[in-house]
Amino acid sequence: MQGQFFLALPVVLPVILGILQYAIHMDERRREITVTVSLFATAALGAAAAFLRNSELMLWRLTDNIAIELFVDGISQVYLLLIALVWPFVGLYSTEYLEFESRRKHFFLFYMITYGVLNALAMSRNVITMYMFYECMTLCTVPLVLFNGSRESVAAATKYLVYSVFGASAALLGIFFVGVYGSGFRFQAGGILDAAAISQHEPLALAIVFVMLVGFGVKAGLFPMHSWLPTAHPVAPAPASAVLSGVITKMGVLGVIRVIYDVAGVEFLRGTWVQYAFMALTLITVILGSAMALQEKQLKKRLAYSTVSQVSYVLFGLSTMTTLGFVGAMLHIVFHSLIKNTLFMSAGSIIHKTGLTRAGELRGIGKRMPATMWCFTLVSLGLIGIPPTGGFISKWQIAEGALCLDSAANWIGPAVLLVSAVLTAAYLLPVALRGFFPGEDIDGASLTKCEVSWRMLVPMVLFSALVFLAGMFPNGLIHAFSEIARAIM
Amino acid sequence: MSLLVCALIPLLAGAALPILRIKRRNLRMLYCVLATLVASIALVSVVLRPWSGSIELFKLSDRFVCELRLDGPARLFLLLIALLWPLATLYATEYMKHETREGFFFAFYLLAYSEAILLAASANLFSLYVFYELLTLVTVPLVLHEKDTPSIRATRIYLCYLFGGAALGFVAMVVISGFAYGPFRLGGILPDVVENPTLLLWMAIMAFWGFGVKAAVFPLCRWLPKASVAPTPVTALLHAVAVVNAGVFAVMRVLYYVFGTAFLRGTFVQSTMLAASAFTVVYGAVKAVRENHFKRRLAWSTVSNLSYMLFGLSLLTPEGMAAALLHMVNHGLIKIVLFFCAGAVMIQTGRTQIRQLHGMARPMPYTFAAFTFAGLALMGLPPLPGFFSKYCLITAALKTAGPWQIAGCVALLISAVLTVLYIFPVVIPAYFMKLNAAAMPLPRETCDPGIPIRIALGVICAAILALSLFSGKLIEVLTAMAGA
Repeated sequence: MQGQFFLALPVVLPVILGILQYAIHMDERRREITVTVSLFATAALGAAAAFLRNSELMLWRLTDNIAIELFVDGISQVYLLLIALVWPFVGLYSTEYLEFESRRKHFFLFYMITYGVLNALAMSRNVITMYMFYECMTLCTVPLVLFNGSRESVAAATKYLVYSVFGASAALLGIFFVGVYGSGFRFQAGGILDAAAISQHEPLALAIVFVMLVGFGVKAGLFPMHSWLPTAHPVAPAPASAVLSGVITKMGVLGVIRVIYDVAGVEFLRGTWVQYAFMALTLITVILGSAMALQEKQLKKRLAYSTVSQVSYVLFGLSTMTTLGFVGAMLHIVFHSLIKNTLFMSAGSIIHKTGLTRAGELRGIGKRMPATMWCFTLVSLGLIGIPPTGGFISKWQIAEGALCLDSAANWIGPAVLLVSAVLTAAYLLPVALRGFFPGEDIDGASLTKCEVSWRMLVPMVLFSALVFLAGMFPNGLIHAFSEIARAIM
Repeated sequence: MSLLVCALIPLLAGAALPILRIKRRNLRMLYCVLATLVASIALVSVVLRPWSGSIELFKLSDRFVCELRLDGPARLFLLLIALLWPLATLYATEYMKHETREGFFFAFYLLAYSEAILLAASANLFSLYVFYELLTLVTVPLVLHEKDTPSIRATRIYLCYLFGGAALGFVAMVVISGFAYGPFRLGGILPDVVENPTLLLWMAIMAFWGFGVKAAVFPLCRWLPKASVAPTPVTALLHAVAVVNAGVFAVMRVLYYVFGTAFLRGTFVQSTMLAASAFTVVYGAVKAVRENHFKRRLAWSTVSNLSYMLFGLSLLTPEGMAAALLHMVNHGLIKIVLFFCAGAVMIQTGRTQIRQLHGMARPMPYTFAAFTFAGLALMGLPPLPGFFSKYCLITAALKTAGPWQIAGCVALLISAVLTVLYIFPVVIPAYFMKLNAAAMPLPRETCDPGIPIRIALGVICAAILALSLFSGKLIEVLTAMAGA
């Protein structure tokens, strides 16, 4: 090992603490405190690591050109900070959500190991390291999906596993291709494909880059490999669905970012069929996800379809390969993560207190759980993209990025985004409206108040507030992301 | 001569076992473990010493000489079996408690060791053929061990396939010896100008399937899953490592050391071999996914993985050969662990079907930890060794970038996904589903196997870990060995 040892801490610490809380016998109250404290401590370490810009750490050199190594660049920074924000708060939420579960130490174990793996994934310096932690992430999140051990969840988890591994294998083919036709495995702005070596194999190289993009796209719910997502996310307990939708899908996006900007290079891809084919897939997914969400009655499943659609906004932003599109995509990564976590947490709160799971059953829920439903409504506005929320800023940037393109796609993209925004409003707002305005025929007295406690409310309120604050003062973020875009394009 | 001594130790020890009639079981087991251990230590010391001489065993004519030598691949193969044979014997000492006629079993188990040593050290095609046949012969009683209807049927298939294959190999061997003879040489022993290249190419095809039958290449693969009726030490060591790798090893000798890559590259022989092995890779994996019997599923997985190696060999490049040898080592270690675990579950609880394994990780934590670890290694999670095999195979294939090579890469990736599909439906329900104790009561609360099996599992898992950390060195050594 050589380099900045500090980078290993946010990877190793949560894994060790997670195993300790599992192995050591302790009463449930103490376990909650232990888990919460460890999560926040890890978050502090992760955030600190994010500011060690350009530091690097070699964990193990396997062969001359294959090594497990970490570093911090602009993109890792964004991811580290995002995870450090989301993971501990959802963890706090889960301590209450799972209070009656006897097997919750299993949940905490895998939740914390996944945290370490995600930090490592964000800091991966080369494609091999990334592939390794990517597979680890899949394997560590499968138990989260499996948590309640029902036959349905086993089937869902198997589907999740198969799709994810298929995606990772497709990416692996590209990784091996890079091994033969690239200059090493390390990420580098502008790409690492060896121009001289691939000059005779350009069609093959393009095909393989496309396979890689689709491979990583599986985790991000990209059409046609999206169908695992609405199956797997809703069967998990709510905090797990929240992070699966809010964070884990973004790791697929991370893979796509690395492939486009750091492996293939924008110069190589711009204007090729790969760009347009990938863009077409993202647009199809945007519409398809929204349309499926609209016809879905189960609230958590509806939210999962919404994830399919929204993560493809991000992918679409990336596929424009413009600075604006990139900035919009990064903004949407952050905002969608906060929003979708909040939405799933509010859906979870409702299940936790009332056991209601279908969108149609939620009439009057706003009277019973006002704070939860306020959060739900506010972030819904964010997801639709109504100013002054963050969702507006990010979608605006993505659309502007698309308009910079000099092909027919420059108006199709924004048009599709607009249609999808309408659909988003159509599948989210009725829930909020009926929640607050149940109509005359409902007996007001039956609507007893049953608000959740602070441990579940704080994360939701915090994330909703951040979506608004960042939407009102976006310049800092836009500036930071433009810097990153300049560095990698 | 010391090489011959190594081969003689297990041979004599095995032959003496029925004569000695050791009464106490513990002593008998100690005798078997010690015999293999001594043979292995002797073998390792011989292999690690530089020695380039040869030993002539017998001579029929100038063309047919039975001779032993040691070169790079032979040393690698010998090291692999030297590591695994004592551990498998150790495993068998506990496993065979649950079977009958164990004296008989151990005698042939030891004999097989000596045949495997001789096969690995064969210096020319004729000796390779001789020991190839002998290895088949001494393993037949092991497959037949149970002496019930399924094992008799399996033995019949085993005999048909292996002797049928060897007959093809025999014809090829005889015809080739008409063109050229002499000790193996990297690059081939054929003269520069051959009178009838077409005939030789057809002989290459025959030799590929003839010697490939032990490596279970399609359509000669059905015997391997059938043979899993044998006691687990046999399935684990012989039908996942020694015998089947001997098939791969023999194919390597034929392609690289008799014909030479230059003679075969770009011919219809190469494309046929690539296509057959790529197809077997996927076929075996699909069959494994569809199989519900635990050991048979692993056997089909072996079929698939053996063709990874054959695919590497069919690339006819030094990198391809190095990749195949690397996968031979990696797969050997991984698959033996998987089989050991399957066998442990079988003797401890009598469960043999995949769906009987729900919730079994709780009563057998040690066994399933080893199984999961080996499963992850097989599916190729970096830095575990399965990843490097795939890495080397696919980069070697992409370097030539012909259509069949690319198709093979795709086949390997499909099979990687299928690997997950046949390993994880064992692992996930074992950890996360409820144990069905009502239908099949467990003998005890915890039913992990005893110390011998645990030692065997632990040592091999540690070896897998070490292998993954030092793969870089191994790849270098292998590539140098293959002459790149």
